[in-house]
Amino acid sequence: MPQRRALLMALLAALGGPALGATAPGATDAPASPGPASDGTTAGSTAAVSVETLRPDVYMLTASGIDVALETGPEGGIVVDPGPAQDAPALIAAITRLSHSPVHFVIDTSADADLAGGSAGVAAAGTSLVESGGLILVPRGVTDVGRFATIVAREAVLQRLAAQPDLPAQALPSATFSRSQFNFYLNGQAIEVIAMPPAHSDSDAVVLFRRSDVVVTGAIFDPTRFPVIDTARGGSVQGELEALDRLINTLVITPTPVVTGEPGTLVVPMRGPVCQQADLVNYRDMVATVRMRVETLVHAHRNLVQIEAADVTQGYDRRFGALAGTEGTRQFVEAVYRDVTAERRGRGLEAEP
Amino acid sequence: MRVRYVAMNARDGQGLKRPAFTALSPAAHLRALAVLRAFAARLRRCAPACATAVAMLYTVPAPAQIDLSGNWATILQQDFRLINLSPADFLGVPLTADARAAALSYSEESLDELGRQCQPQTVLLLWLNPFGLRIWPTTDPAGGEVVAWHLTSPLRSAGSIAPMTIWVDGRRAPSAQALHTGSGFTTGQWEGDTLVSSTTHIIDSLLTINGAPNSDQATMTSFISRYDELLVTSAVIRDPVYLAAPYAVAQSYQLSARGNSDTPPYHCAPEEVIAGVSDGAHTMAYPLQGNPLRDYMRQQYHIPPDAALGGPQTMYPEFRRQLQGKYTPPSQYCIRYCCGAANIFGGVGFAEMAAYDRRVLECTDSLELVLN
Repeated sequence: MPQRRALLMALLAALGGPALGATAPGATDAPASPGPASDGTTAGSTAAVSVETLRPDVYMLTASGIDVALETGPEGGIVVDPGPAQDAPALIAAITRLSHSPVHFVIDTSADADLAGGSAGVAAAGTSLVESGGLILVPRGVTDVGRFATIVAREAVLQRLAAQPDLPAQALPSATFSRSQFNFYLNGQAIEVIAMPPAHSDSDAVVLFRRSDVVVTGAIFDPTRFPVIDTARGGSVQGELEALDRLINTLVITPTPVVTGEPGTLVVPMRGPVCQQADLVNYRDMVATVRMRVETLVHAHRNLVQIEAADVTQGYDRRFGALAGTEGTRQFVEAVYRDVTAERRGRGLEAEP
Repeated sequence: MRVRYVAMNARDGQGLKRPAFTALSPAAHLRALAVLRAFAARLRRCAPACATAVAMLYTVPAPAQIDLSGNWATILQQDFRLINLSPADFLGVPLTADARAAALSYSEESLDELGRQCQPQTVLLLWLNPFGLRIWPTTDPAGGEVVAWHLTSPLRSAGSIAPMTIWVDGRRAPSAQALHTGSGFTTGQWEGDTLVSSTTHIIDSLLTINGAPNSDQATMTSFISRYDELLVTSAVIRDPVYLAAPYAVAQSYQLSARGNSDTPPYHCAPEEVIAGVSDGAHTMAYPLQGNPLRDYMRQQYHIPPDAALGGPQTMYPEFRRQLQGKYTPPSQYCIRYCCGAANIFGGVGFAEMAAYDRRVLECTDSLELVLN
């Protein structure tokens, strides 16, 4: 296997040069990563990729703890949230083992480095379906059309990434949208890239593979920890709740009225195992409960220090706080507090004691 | 119909007394295995001639698959109370402080959420359900060997429990990244005449129906033994997130000729019950220190809060002895055959349960006794 991987890396290097991302584990000529990691941590080094088959031709690959969705078929592959840049070579190797068709689309649901960092590398290993007359579908600044897969993202993702001066052009999304949804059709199924309310940030999106009945949530849903609300980039706890409700009520369906025990729509979260609607409901309730507790204390004129001291995440600390850590939990509580006080200000109420 | 857990269910009037394990508890299983191992060690040390003679006298059959098939009625005398629970009653459950906080935050109103109305309970409650078990095998068509045992509660309505499949064909468990469900993933093997199984991949849900949680890291080791028309089960549940110690439960069943009734598929159509529940505007949970039923066990049964709210110390007889001198039972309470499950399930659930165990019909409604 190492020889095969080395061969693949060499092939990729010959095809794409430095633009291919890390040509070997730890390579220094990889494209610079997009924005900061969504949890504020440094992504790990290249790791083994685990593969979970969700439906025929739809997989969840996990590298460095980040879940990546892959749809394959005779018309080409689609990769959603390729993960950190340094894992791109391992990811490409895993994709190659699963499918002989080239990747044509990479979808970024966020501008975070731990989700979109590998986009350039994975896109460089694929090809665009539009080789001429469709320059919008190849990365900006790339003249060798057809050599790169199309990177799809919300316009806000492009703006975030373009603001980073050290990011190469091929790391930027090449097919962006500012409307509510970006749709295309490949391998006999509709793929919907859906703009979501500002939850983790103001550029969140989810991806629905309509026939396969698989939803990829990006940073909106990480059942291994408390949500990371990037308030500096427009995220909000109320947006997180609205996004989760939208997933639960309109996109992720559970089998009723005949309750079969089957999971229904499968959910690929940012981290952790494959999920279903019940996981989203549990997570939504956790966020809503913590928000309710904070709101109750704000009504009682408690300030942030007092609210943190009240341990408003009790009951969830070991489940969602173990990986988030003390700082992650504190950041979540603070985001909730900011959200509640902002909402009170919006209603003309006293925001803080 | 959905389950309404808020009903003030009656206790069995035994105060702090733990249900007696009339059949083999997990500890008894382990002791029995230890005896067998010691016996085997003695055989190994014996001279060959001696071993031959002993072997002739004590011919032990090779591990064999006992036929578990059938409809089994729950004998409501063991851990039945663990599903028939009062609010804020976690006595004997080794909850962590975090689990207790989650449990006291739980409100049965959360069952009105669209995403929860049709959710079955997980297999962690399978051994505690009062509706019995239906067990059947899947066999290899070539040789007839059992590939898997399927276990389900015959109840097919609200409050139903996810079915369990115990794979005995040696297959490996899925990866940690695989879907976690109400059924989980279970593999088993025969140890003598006991089917020992291990369940993983269980979804976050409820360990007890009154709100104690389980995490997706919970596992369950189950022991199933058949003695003619008696089925004895016990299980040890572990959860590094919400349990401070392994949690043992046990239940026995009697083969039931009446249990082979037709049960329709479980149909459930969620409906909007409370405006705002599903738009993020509300959460159906109690605020911190805001559970109005937190002190229910003290008010109703004089059980002190440090006992009612559970924890590993409340599992052991020593704890009971500590409280014995201080405990004063209420003046009126149910003695036996208390119909708590009828209070919980009502209507259809009660009728179905009665079909599997006629003694339920003979129960006395302790709720009236207590309240009158």
